[in-house]
Amino acid sequence: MTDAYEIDRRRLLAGAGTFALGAVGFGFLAGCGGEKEASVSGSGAAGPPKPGGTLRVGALGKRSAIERDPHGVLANESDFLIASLVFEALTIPGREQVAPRLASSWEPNADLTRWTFTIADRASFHDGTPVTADDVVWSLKRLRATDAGASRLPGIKPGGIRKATDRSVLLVSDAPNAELPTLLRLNTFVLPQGTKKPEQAAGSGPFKLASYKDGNAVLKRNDKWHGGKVLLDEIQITMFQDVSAMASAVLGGQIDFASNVGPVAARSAKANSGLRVIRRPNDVSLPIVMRIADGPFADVRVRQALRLAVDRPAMVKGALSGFGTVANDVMGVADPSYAKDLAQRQRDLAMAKQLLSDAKFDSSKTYELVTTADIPGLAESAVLFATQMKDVGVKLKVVKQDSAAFYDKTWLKAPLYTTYWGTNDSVTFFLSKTMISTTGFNESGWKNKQLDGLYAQAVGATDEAARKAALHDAQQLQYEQGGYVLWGMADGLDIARPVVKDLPTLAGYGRVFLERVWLDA
Amino acid sequence: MKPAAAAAAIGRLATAVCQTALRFAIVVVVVACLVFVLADLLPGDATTGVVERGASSETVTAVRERLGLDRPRTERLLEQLGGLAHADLGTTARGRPVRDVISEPLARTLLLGGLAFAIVALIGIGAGTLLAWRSGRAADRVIGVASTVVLCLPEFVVLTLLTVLFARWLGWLPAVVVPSSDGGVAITMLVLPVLGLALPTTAWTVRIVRGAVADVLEMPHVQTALLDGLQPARIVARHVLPLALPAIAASLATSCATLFGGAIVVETFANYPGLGSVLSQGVEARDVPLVTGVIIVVTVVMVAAFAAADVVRGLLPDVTPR
Repeated sequence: MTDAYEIDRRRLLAGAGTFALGAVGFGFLAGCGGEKEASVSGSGAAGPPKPGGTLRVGALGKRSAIERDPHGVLANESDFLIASLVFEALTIPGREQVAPRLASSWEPNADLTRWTFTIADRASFHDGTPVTADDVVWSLKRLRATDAGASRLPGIKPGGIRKATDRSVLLVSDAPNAELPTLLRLNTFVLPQGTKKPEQAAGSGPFKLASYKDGNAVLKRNDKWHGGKVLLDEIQITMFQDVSAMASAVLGGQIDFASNVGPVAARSAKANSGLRVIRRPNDVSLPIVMRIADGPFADVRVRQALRLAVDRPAMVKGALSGFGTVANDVMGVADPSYAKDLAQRQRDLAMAKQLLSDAKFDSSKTYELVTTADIPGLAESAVLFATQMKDVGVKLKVVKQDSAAFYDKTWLKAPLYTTYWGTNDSVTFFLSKTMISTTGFNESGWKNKQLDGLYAQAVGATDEAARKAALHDAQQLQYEQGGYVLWGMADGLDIARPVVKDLPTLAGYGRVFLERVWLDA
Repeated sequence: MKPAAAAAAIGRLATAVCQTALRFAIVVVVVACLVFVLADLLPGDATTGVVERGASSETVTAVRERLGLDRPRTERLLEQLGGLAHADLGTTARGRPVRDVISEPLARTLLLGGLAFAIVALIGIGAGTLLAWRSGRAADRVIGVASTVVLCLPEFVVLTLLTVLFARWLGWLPAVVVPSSDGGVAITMLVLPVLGLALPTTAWTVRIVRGAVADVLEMPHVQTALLDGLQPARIVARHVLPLALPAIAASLATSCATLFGGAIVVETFANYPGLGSVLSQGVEARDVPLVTGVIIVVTVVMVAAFAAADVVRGLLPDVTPR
């Protein structure tokens, strides 16, 4: 199963807003995280955390896509937030990529094909019964049997999910996989064995579901949570179908915290002294994909030219309202193994023109750059990129498709298009998912034996130094020959009232873990 | 009214009702077919919304088969129409009955639209009549210009302006709808969406009513009544409105369609959990049965509104004193 390392957990169903404010990108990947801590102004000055109070949270979601089964396709951020606080996965995103949740520890065998996960002491369901290995095995088998099961439990067959002891579970992988604990983040929600109605099932998470209606929920504190003391009495989750409505609610004081609001709302909140904008760096990558397999960008010199012609700081400023950072064409920016030593590519129009002329690039033609409005800044980045390319004589016409049409006609096929990913703390994720020749989602149609070999070395290496070396070489190859123009990384942006303290600062889905939050009221 | 005239009126009413019922059914079926085919022709299908991005092609194929999307379009269309015969609207791409998904949002949209319609009708007819009566004076001119401005503004602009004024600056009303834990929506939360939805259509209706009433005011019998010194209220009630009513009824029926179109936008901006958002989300997700179901229900409401207007128009001339 080389084509199924990590699943991106949700496809964005489409733009959340009918209007220009656009949809917020909640359509990304499961295991997300970042190593960096965002600097949150004013969060430390309040003294010791105080217990009590109700946190009112806004999260995006669509009524037609409501899903109450934690093993279902959780396309709504609101549903995902509820599932992540009520149920527990084995592992979750953490500052070092992966953090324990229901599993307190994990151990591989010598060749990294068998992983044993130990269930946390005192972990129990909300009805008081302890979580056992039987519950975990049953839940993982149930997850494996879903449509996306093969990619959610990458490389693991149903028979490879076994009880080891009463408190531990063995997962047998088809191939060595050093990153299995990372790849299982967020996916592996555990329910009591034999659950028939998942929407009524007791979880083991820090909050219990007290009431639920049409995507909106009230969660109450679980006083017996094994993970530590939870301070909030209650979390009220309101589902918003549109990001601008959610921003209005937080601006108007109807909610305390709006998760993942996008740059437009963040800009207006920044101007409002009564609110705080939380920036979570390296949240989303939104690269431009150049097709390597064939077509006008198959010549490596053309790809290098485009990478040299883009004005990265201007892209961050223009497409992301400045809420982002410049990147260097290598995917997996927040990975501790990310190759920081590769020189930051700067704009060099003369060199770009030279490369285009060496490659005999046909500048008389106009090429299509296909994009969508799935996430804030995506379509804007395409327009800006096309404008910048004029400076080296490359004529691009931006074609905007809606989400469904894009995935039907363009993704994985077109010579030039925009894409976006929400898991950015794993170099291996992108290698396995979008670059090695055997993956089903090779966005640029790259077939490179050297890269395939480096990837196999990296995931099979038991020696940390050998793994790092292989990963570094794979990144160097991306930097020199790859099909992505990764010009920048967008920040994750949340808005909160100042009384809300200790909000999550991790990128991606790290944002849903609200159990440490408290109110300084 | 004499008994014979009343009987004749009832007879005409019965005929009108039968005719409209037949037209009603035809319109619903034609609209259902059109919407189904158009939604189905859009690039992509519901599979992309149900599987996760990056699902394997085997998964996609399996889901497509499970959703029945691999079957010919005509077969799926006939199935949907067949269900319609016994009021079954089919199943969404996520496997829930369409009826369950849309019943509560429908009730909420009817509430929102109904309140907006009441404002449109009351203010539209009241202000329109007053302006026609005071034709050419300052109030007529000021409101004439104001209504032109308002009717040119899309609903979401009106709603945004109202929200900034009443929620952000004055703090009198909540900015958006935040349902309570049992799904209830407080009345204060309804005010802004209802006004945002109603105002542009009200402005339109004021102008239609003003024109219709002004035409009637020119008629000889009204002029005579005026010269006779009858009370203005009596003239308007007895001689003017009945004659202007057919035009007004047609305009109000049309405004039902406008209000629904506006509701899609207003509901999204106000976070109001109604039918408009279900429709736009259904289109985005390529959920053809859901989209068709919503449109069928909306068509039924629209056709009923037009039918009511037709019946009113069919009845009126004879009950009007000449």
